[in-house]
Amino acid sequence: MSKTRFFLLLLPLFLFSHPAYSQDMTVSGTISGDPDGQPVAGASVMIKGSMTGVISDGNGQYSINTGRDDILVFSCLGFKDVEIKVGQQAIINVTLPVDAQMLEEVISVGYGTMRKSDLTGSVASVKAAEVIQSASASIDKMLQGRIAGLTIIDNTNDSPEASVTVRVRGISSINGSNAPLIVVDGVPMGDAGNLTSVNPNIIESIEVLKDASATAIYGSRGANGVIMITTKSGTQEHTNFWFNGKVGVGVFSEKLDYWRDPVMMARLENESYENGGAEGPYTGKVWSDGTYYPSISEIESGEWPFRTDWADYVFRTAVTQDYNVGVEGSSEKSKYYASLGYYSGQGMQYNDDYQKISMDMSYDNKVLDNFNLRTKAGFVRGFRNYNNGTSYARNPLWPVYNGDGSYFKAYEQDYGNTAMINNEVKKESDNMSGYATLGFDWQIIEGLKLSATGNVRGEQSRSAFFNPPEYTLAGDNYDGEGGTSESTYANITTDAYLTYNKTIKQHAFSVMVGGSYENSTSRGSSITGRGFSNSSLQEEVVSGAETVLTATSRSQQMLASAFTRLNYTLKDRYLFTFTARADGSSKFAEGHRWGFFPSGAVSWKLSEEPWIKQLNFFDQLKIRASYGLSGNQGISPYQTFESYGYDYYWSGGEEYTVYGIGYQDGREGSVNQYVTYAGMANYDLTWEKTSQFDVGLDMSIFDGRLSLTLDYYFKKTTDLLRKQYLAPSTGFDTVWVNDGEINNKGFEISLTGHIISTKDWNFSATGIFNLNRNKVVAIGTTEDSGFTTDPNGICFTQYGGGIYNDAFINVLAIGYPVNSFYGYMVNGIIQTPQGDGTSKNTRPGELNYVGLRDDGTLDPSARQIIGDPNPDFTASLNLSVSHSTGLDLSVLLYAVYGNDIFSFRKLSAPGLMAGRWTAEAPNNERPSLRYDRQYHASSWSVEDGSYLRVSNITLGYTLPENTIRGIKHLRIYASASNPFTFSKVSEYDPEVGENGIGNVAYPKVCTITGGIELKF
Amino acid sequence: MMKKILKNIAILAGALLLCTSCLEETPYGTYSNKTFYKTEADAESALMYAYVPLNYIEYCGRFLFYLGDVTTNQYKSYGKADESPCFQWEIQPTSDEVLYFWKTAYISLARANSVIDNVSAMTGISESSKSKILGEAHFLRAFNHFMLVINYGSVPLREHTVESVSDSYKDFASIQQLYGFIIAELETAIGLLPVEKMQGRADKVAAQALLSRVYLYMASAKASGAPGYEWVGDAEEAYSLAAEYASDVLNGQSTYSLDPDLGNIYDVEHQADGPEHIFITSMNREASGMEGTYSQLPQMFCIQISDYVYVSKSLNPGPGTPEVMKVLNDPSTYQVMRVDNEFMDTYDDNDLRKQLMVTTIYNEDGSVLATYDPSNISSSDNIKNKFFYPFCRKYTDPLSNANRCSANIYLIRMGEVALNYAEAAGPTEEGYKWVNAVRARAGLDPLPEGLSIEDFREAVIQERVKELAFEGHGLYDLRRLNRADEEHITNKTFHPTYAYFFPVPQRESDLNPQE
Repeated sequence: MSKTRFFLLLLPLFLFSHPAYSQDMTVSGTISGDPDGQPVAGASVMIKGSMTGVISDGNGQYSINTGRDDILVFSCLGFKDVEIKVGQQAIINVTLPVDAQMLEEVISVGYGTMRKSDLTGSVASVKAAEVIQSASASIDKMLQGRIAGLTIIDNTNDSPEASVTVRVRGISSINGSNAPLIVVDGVPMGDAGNLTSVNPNIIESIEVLKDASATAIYGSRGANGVIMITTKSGTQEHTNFWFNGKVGVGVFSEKLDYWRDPVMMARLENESYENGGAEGPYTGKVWSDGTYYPSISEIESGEWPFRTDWADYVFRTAVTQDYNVGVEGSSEKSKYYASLGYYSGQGMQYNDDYQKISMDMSYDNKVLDNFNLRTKAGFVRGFRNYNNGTSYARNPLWPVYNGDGSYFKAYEQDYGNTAMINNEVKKESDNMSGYATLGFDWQIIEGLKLSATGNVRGEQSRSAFFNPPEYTLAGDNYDGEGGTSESTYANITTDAYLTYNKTIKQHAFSVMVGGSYENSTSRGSSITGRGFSNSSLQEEVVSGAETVLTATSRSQQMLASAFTRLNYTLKDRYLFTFTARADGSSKFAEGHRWGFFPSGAVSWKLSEEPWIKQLNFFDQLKIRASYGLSGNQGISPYQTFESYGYDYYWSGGEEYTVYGIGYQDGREGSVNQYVTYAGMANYDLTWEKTSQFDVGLDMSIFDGRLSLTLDYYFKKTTDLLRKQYLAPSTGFDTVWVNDGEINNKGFEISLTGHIISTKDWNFSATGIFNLNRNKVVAIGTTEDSGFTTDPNGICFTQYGGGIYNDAFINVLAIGYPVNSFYGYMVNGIIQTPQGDGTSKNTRPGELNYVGLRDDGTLDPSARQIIGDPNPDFTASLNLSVSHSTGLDLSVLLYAVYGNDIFSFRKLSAPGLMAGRWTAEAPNNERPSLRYDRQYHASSWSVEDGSYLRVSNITLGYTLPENTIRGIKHLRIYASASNPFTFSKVSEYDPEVGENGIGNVAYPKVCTITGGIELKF
Repeated sequence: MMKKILKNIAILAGALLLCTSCLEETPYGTYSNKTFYKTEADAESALMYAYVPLNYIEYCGRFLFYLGDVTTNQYKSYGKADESPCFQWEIQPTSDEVLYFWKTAYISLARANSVIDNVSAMTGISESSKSKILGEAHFLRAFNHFMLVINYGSVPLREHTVESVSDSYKDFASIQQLYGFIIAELETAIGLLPVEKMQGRADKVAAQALLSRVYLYMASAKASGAPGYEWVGDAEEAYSLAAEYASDVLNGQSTYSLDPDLGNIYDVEHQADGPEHIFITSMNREASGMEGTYSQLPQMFCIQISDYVYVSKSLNPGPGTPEVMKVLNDPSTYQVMRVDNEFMDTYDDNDLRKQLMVTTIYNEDGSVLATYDPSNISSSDNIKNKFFYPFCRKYTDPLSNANRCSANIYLIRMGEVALNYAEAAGPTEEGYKWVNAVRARAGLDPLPEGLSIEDFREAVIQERVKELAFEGHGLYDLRRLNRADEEHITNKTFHPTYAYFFPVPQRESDLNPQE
């Protein structure tokens, strides 16, 4: 459809509201700011009680059509509002008084912006400057504890790419994505969690849209919340050159726990074999795998001379560097911003590196008085080197090298020598991504604006690996294995929307209506070679390999949308918002493609009511309520089609790769021995739908010194996308369907107090509290979901993978939160033999399972819900103090309370092993050591995962202005991330994944960063 | 005013809806009906994909043996841990064998249906290829439905690919309807297919041979009063049709014939060219896929002595040091198909087929390593105590690629067709000729002349048990002869509940409930 037709369709919308009252004069003037009287650019001039207004230009000049009875409200960020009655004045010059407290923020709400005080939905925001005091490859990680309702789980240890789990208001999908949508400068970018393509240093602000009124404008992708990122653009009136640099050093926040006393290690290892009725390995013999284990006396006497501190070969002091330079500025007609960034991140392990170079630039130009052209482009080039899984827990009795300098292998297939892996195994990747945005804002007539944006994004990534023979299992199996894979991604996003503002006396209207279209295509190819006669060129010459395997892939998805938002304000105190979006996704079949996602919200600015004003107590008091629908389309493309699979078939002495309907989708049965097949078409597939109710309160008192935001929400997700079993007579096992329900409810408190505010001292504190309760309400029927109903009446199905030899631990159980743990209860340790003592499992020193039979087996029906990894609440406290000399200090505390984690290190950690049960020193805490014990998912491993972390401490010094000629801003600072954690878990760190499964490989990394910000 | 706004929004939304063509999904990078069935190779590929499930262990590759043979006197448990509940007739609607045999037959059906649904409409394909591909697909539909009906009785009849959840609900067809469908499908296949021998593929002769089995089952079930076959109108008519189709195979072509050398039938190197094999699977030791593209059949039967197991190369080695061969080129086996020694004892000592149950294993040099004896089970010798049953050597692959074997399943072979004919025709000259041909190959004398029709048929049936032992026929022959009872299944605890029809899998009953 052409743009013209699009516009013609919209025309009637605006004809009915032709001005019917007097806007009979033009007022103009200059706005300047205290104390220096400099003109203020970008100040808003609004007609009071309306949504009509203009913005002052670069020289602080404005011009507005108004009526004599109108009152003009002049406002700008950082200044107090000034109200002036127009009367007979044609020129009104104003000087705005500075107001550090009452920052009237304008925030991004999706296809438009709003004054924060006019919001009817639940939107939280944070300035990037407050959070980027340490170096990180992406912004996501740094948002932990900063925004009410936003949960960040950073359990990837120290990945230099810094990917994290991001959730807004709980888990609401079991198969689709649970990550919020990230929107950067109006362009949807996909799931939050690993936004390495945006340099955190160019981000201006982050807004999190939480309730349905706010998220419904993103329709089918709004169900998990939306994170809006606004990047910097030149807003300074003068040209500024700036530089910031950060250098961080990572160290472990606690001591590594590994065997430093090999004699003790050998003794305990032998003990564990003896308890299992076998001879221990440390007896000076060759073990069945060919390893020679020295005897304890050989170790003690030094006859076995080797001692290796493997941690020295695995870990380093990780250095992270982040440097950015840029220039920004504005003139009467244009503003510009350009920056160049270099980031180099190191993981704690050798060879775990990430570097990227990013360039971003934006240029806006008012080509006509009423026509603003926006351009923006950027490029990121990244390099990643992967560590190939080295372990510092390798036996300290093994040397690194043999006498001849070759790598020591304990036995033929020992591929665990850290030095060998680091030096000989290759795995690396690199990527390039670029984007360009072209857009305009056309003020067609007073109050009517057309904005249109087109954005293209392309990504290309490549990875390469080589597993040489002798040093790797794959290399030995295939006589060298190596390959490369490449993938490309292209996305085009276009949107256009019209905004019309109109005020009729006490009625202010704002209407936005628009549409968007997105198209993404992915392609990939990989080449793997096996059997390299000459390994020197590795994967670079795959054609030299004996066998070459290739694969290619391609997929495409499209989303077309129409959306609208209507705001109506009555007397500047009753606010109504209606939004709706219609999304059409190519992922679904015709007839089910379009989803409609409406929302409505009301808000009442009580503080505008005379009877509240009389109290002279509230600066702001607003209550809000909203309800609406949003969706989740988080499944792969092509799920509605019948899908083909392939297999191999010999016919006439030749093998054919054969294709046909139905593909291998998974496995089932005991030891997963049976393949499951999917591939049936399901033309009925559609969106997951989330309806959300939210009530909130925004309050500010004592001249803005204390402000509070409260929200209660109830979020119900239905039509869950899940795999349903089919009657086996269909020839398919599973198909995607929409069925089931999950609820989340909770509340969020955000409280900020400027406790001390004197000439010399400022002290403020922000507390954030999130509480969420998650519950699985329904997931289809017992039969078609493969549900089990246990003898205790718990109706559950496996969710996620297995642990030990148990097929699962996390379950979806009706009436319980997602990811609940299911397993056996353990009542301490067995102290007196049970049964006839023939089973090893019933002897003293063993775990005393509820359901342990005398023959040593466990009664599966004794299992129950044994834990819940979802926290009761999370909270954070951000304290900051500053002094007029320029010194400032801030501390961020982050707490998670009431969650369970499943700990694997309760007995396996060397530091905890000594506390084992022995006949001489029995206890009720830790079982005896026994090499052949089969562990189970049991309450013994479940620990209270609550913790309190000092997330960040930053100490900074800002040079007072004009101290050094030509330097506009200079700040130096030092920060420490994750210096202290208080928790009771046996794991190194309590911050494990969302499913609560531990096995944290090493302690949390504490990063000490030194930084400088310079502007001239 | 609000109305007006909404109206305009509706117009706008409508206009946008017009451009839904921009949301038409093109399934790049994945085949679907839209992108497949363009060329003859596509059609051929999809057809072969429909054959693949027959090889799976869940279907003919293993569970057919569990359900069809382990449940009979051919095998017994010996008090050892059992791989399958079929050893004790402890079969439940939730048993793996019950569910996965069913499921895999329907997977093959879904693929065959897809071939028929799509290939019929193809244009870019020669008529002869189209006939052949469709003919094979019809054969597969018959084969799979036949496997289902002889195992479960009444089951859903699937003539089309299931395309929606609502399609998945389907009334079970009666046994009569199923047989009617199977016969029609085989007749269609016979009309479409040429005689063309190729391992892993069915041709006209396979369809004729299977149809003779189908009619023989109907006839004998009716005659014996076997449950579920009351609807068969006239046993004699069915016998004569069984004889007619068997005769078409025996006399109407020259590609297939009774292999005069019994050992040749079970020689892995002669699966493709042996004249005996009418329809044999095509698993291969060099295959690329998972088990099913290659087989592990020898491992199922062969004893596990943690070393290579050598047997005499010839079935009838004669005196002196024999030439030996490995059962498979891998020391690791599973030893789960444990032949009942009393079943072996039912064979005449002169019967060459008795040698297909191994009682002596050798060293590589041909010297004897161990001999079978019933008392071995309590031996303290580490090899002897594995050799507590005579193991079947119908499935061997001395050149296996470690655990990957080329040993295949003899789904339809000439010996069966000869016996189908003899049983159906009765003691006619031709009837005697074909049963005696099978006996002669095994080194046995002809049946006595002048047997009554009952005695003759009984003799043929006994011949059939011995000839087709360990090839997945056992229980189905008992069922059609109304003999699935304690009198005929004597070496295991027999639970009669599912004697004639295995239970419908629980998952099917749950998800496709019947009134």
